[in-house]
Amino acid sequence: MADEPVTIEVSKVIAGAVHDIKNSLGALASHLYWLSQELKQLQNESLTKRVYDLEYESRRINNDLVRLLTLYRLSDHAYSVDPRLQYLPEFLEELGLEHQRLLAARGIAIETDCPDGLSWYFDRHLVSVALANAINNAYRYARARVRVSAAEEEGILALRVEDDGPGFPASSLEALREIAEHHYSEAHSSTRFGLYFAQTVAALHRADGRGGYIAIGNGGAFGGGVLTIYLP
Amino acid sequence: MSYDFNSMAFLVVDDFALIRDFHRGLVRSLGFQTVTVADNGLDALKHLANRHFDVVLCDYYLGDGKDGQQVLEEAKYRGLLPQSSVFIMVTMEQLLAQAMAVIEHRPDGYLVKPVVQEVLVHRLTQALDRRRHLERVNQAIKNDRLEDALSLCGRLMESEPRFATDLMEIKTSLLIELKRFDEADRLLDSLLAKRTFPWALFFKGKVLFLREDFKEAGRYFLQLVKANTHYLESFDWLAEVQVRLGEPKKAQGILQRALEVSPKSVVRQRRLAELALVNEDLVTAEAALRAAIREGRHSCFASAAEYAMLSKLLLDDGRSAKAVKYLAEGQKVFSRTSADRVAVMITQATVYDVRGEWTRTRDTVKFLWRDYPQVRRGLPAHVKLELARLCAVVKLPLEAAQVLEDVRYYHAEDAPAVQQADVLAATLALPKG
Repeated sequence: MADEPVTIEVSKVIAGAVHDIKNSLGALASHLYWLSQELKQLQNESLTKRVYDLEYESRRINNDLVRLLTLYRLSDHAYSVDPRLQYLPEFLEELGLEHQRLLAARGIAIETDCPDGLSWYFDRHLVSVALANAINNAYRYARARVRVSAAEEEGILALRVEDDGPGFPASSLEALREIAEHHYSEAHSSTRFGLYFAQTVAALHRADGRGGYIAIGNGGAFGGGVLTIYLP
Repeated sequence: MSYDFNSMAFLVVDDFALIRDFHRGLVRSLGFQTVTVADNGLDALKHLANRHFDVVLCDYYLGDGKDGQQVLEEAKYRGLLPQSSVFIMVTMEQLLAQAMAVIEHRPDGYLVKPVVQEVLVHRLTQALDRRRHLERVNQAIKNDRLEDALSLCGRLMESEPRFATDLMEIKTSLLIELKRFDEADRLLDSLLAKRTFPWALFFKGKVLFLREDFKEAGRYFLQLVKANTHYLESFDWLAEVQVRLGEPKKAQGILQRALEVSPKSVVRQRRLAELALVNEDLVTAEAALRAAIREGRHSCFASAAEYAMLSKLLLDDGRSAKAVKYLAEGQKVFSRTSADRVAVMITQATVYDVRGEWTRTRDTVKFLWRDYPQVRRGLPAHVKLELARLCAVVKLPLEAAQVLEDVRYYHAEDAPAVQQADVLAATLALPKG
């Protein structure tokens, strides 16, 4: 046999493996959810809390993988942005409901805020994955409060996640500046990946020739980190 | 508004026992009294045929059989889902499931595992609300009162602006149905000037196709499949565009790509076979027909056509025993409608004729003749011509003359067919006209 170069279909192999891991994690998160429900009935608080922590970790990894897979599908033309009119009070309510239980176990209250009747066109799946990541971070860093809000600002929708934690470090602000300049360094940082995903999702939303973008900063309503996704 | 779950019937479909049991428990805890479970798509459809369900919570991946999307499509096609019922798809990965959903057969919502109680209640309430508001529109469409449906859409856009996307989609498809293409065009152009809505691009392509501007239509469908290789419906339309542009080979290639993504569609496999036969690609045609029959065994989309085509193909290839086998199966499956029976039996008569079994050929023709008057209008011209030839072979000249007369009457605009009928009449020395 001649020396044939071995080709390795890296991206497809990784995508397949990620999909498989994600399924397992989904099952794991389901088991943990049911376990926590049963423990709650037995009124074993300390165990319930520990199971909540486990469930949180599995959901966090799950969200990481969903973002990875979503980026892969988008780059492989296996998904394209599907903007549909979303009614924001309803969208935020569901987001709050999804995270409230785990956040409450950590003593963190989640609140949502949005003008009555506000609606906007965006891809519900992509935007909720990006926001879920920001809320998951709040689970780690917030002290007692996290707020998700939506408002129209100068003809653009601003979706904001704010908490009362220590805020973004200077390195995150630097990371976002690099991402905005289309430069993705390989430095290990979950924040960087989260920001990259949110920025990509925002940029994929286009209207009237403009694309969306994100901004991060410190201060806001509760004096902690503030992430804003702007969608045209 | 909040709903009284007590009185609603709920169907849970999941192939994984643990998840099925969990979902059942979850649903019971919400107050649903009647909760039925199914562990595969066929079972789910059986339950849906047997009784009314208000809510279906169905997993997308259901093992080797039908997937959740197929269950939804069949249920809608067979009228097993009432207008007010909601169908929620549960997936591990929403992206693919969402892309593969046919525009008219989208579920009322997606939930990603694990399904959490608070989110389930919220999504369910939203979906029931949406159904309740759209029910009158859907009812009007079902009763063929399309103008009424259109004006209801307009009123709902004012009073319930949050359903704008759904209403726009319904409005566009109604305008297309009513052949008000100019209005549909204007509506779609105004939407697309602002944003790229995949559904609007799709309808734009459809309008152009129906106006027979096939080149332009092709541009829109191509844009869709380039952006998303899983928009299977757009592949189907793109293939029809190529057929109309006189490029059946290109059309075949396009359908083959769509089938690589999702090989389970009976309708698409059958269409591929038809195109492959036009292109004289018998290998592809045979494989596609076998696939259509295999996938069709448990599907409401199966037809007698794939049995007839495969038998004919096998017969031409000298494999007449196989041909007879498929015909027998086709006959067993399709004895319900006369059109299907006739289609299969004409091929069967051809098989007997080729094998030189004169008596059997004659019996078969005589037998199918009883159904012929009911199906003559819909039977394709080339099938009629074959029937006329068979009638002549088995010495039934009056019947042969009758069929040829039907070709001239029902296919008057099909010049080659009429010409063939005249030639056949002349060679068989039958009276013309």
